[in-house]
Amino acid sequence: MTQERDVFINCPFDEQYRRLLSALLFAVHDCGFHARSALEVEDSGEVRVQKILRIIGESPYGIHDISRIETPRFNMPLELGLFLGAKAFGGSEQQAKRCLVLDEEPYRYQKYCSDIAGQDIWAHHGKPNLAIELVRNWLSTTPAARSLIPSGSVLAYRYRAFRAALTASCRKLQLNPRRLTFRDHRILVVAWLDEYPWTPV
Amino acid sequence: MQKVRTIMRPATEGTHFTLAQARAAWREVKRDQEALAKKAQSRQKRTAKAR
Repeated sequence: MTQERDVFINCPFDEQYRRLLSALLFAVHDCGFHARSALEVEDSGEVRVQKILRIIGESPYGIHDISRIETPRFNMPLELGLFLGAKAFGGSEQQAKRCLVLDEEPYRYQKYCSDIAGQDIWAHHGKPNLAIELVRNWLSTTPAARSLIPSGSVLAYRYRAFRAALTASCRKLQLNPRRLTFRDHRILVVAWLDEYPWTPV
Repeated sequence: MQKVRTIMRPATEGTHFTLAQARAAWREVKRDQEALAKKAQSRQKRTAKAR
């Protein structure tokens, strides 16, 4: 059973990607959606692939960043495959799935993942502002978008305001801003958006 | 007698805080920022007057 506004984020979880993950998470929530990730539940009892399958099954939308090719990590293409498989072979709810595929450079994927060459792949060039804009433009075209979403540049400005105040907020909560878990980060984003909403006209 | 221990939330794994706590923290940050902005504004006014 899918949740109407859940967006599965399939991306690298390494230190260098942290900035982009933070931007993607913020953009998803600022667009009025709910970010999901394999990192959201720390349950050693649940087999990892089962957890991923469950989250994919519940998410009608997916953001897949396949940009880690220097240090080959095949989890992202695998999870993209699971998502596309659910769309191809699932019931009517699963067939309505939509996804945004991102890479760092344009056309690079053609070398190592040529089967997806027919799909639109968007390049974020490692820039959070660009990633935010891509997510915003994509989510604004989905049926679940509630209203006209402000431009990517506006969301990026809001993201910078969030980041600028994050350390102060973490200090008050005794959290290390460099070691936030996905769940902590999501809670902080949701709470910030409650304080600073953009109101549709 | 049982020793009373202070339980500190580990700074690296803050998974026990709730949305309400996070909202309260942001409200405090917002108040601090507004107070700072007010201070800066009145300092500017004072400087302008002195000139």
